[in-house]
Amino acid sequence: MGSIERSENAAVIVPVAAPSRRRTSSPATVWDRVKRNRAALCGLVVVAVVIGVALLAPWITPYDPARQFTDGLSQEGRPLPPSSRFWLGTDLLGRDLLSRLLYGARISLLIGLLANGAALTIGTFFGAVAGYFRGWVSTAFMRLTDMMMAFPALILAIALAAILRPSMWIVALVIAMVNWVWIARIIYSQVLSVGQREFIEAARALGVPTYRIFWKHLFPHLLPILLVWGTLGISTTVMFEASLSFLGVGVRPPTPSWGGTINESQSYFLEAPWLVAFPGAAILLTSLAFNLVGDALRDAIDPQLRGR
Amino acid sequence: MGGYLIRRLAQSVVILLGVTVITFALLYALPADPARMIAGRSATADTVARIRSELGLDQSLPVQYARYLGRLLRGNLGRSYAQKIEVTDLLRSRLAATFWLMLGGIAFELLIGLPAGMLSALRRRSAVDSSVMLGAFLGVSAPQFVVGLFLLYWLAYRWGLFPLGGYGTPAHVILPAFALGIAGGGWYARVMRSAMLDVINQDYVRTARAKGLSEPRVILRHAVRNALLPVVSMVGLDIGTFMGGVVVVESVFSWPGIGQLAWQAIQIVDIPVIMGVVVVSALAIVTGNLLADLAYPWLDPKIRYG
Repeated sequence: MGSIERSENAAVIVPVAAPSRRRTSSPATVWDRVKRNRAALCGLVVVAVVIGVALLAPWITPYDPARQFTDGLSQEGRPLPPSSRFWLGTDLLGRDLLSRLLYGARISLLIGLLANGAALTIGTFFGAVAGYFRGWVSTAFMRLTDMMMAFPALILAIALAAILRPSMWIVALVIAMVNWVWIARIIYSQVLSVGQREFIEAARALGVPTYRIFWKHLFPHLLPILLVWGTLGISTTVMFEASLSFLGVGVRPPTPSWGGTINESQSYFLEAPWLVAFPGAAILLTSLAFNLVGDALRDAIDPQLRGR
Repeated sequence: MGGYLIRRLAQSVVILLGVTVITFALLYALPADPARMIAGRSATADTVARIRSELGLDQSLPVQYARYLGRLLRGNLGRSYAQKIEVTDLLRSRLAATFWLMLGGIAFELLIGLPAGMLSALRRRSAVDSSVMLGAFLGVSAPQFVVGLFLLYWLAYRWGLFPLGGYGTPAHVILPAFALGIAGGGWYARVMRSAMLDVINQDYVRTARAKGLSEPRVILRHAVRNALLPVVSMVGLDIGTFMGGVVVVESVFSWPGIGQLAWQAIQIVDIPVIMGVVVVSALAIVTGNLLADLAYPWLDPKIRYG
């Protein structure tokens, strides 16, 4: 923590009549701070491109991703390297790799949004309830999350995905089941501190119904942190989905998924390394971009957290 | 300290029990019939029924769980459906491989993360700082299987510096450990950087400088030692996670560890083996956390558990 953040922090103590500690920043200041972070801006561009590609896939792909070209394999039946006809080469079945990767962005993002959305919802619910009511609820919550954290996450996810016959929904659900705990813990500690502030107590004293306190008074204070962890979470989810697909328990073929393409190509890897390199780069770039943006958002929203 | 230790141990036991309950319920509630798997596709209904009753699978779930727990407490994890070997023997044969990979992975995490984080903190807000931090993000965002496959391609296949996967000599462990350590190294670098920045502004560091110690001595003796605290707890967590099996890396490098065992067992729904791996993994994770918590007061005398 440097001197600039320290002085901002000190301002909290100095004024005599500070009504409530403002720990979050307005959207405009957040944007101002993110704008100054060059890496985050690059990340934002990549995020926009990935989202654009996912939305526009049917219109921008050169070929149908499922089409197996008769001239898409070499004489010996090997996948073709990048050429002017197939920009990124072809895969094992003679399909255009570029088209498959562009469609793969859809799968990755969709699963990312579904899994992450579910994890955020479940995590916020449990974390907020435990942090607000305290007492035995919070003890039970802590023990439950301790237990979830002791699970070997990937092994459990693989077991579930393998036995449940993976579809996109199952994969998203499995990832959410593994990831909600972290969100819940973060929200829990946030609600513990917000819940003690005067305006919550005032609302309670006035007899405002509990659900309304949650929705109108507590939730707005959680939004910034949800935004940050939602963004960072997409990166985790995209990686997790890729790992599951790589192990062969993700979304099933012929659906084009980045991890799945690498899994299919593994045995051909030494002869056709581009079949691993291009989808690998797509996973890396997407995950990196969401990480950079999420991290910049976190720094911008709460400068006290900078660098953590 | 004693009271704290007992409380933490009791908590750990409860956590482990919970993990077995949930895993058991999940695995047996799923629509996969182990009796059918063992009998094979062509078996008659009679054979399947006989196998089912031999394995006790025709009992109610609570009865099955109670039996499982009873055996577990005596250190018996049951028999593999597929291989007709005791699960404990299977696990024992795999633990050594996983242990070496864990050790190598953590070594690389520290080798990459600590110097990078220190450098970044000491050159704060410089080009060095931002490139190191970008590198750290790259490490964190790189899928382990892609890193692993490319390490194999260049260092093993093209240049022949390392064996193409497998297990046995120290040379075998380097590539998988490196693939494992890259992501962790990125996290360690970030944590180390922020811990260093915190520490450098502390009074005792200023005092050390004021009394005329040389800068390297100030950094190494006073700053780094204190900045290592959060890293210690990360190492504790990683010991647990890595000992619990690193499925992806083990699968890329055909490393015969716990993760591969789990992966093979999952594909044939070998439930006793899956349960065994989950129990061992959870035990490793809980122990890792405990180690990290216990190392804390030892490293930082300011922290005391009551």
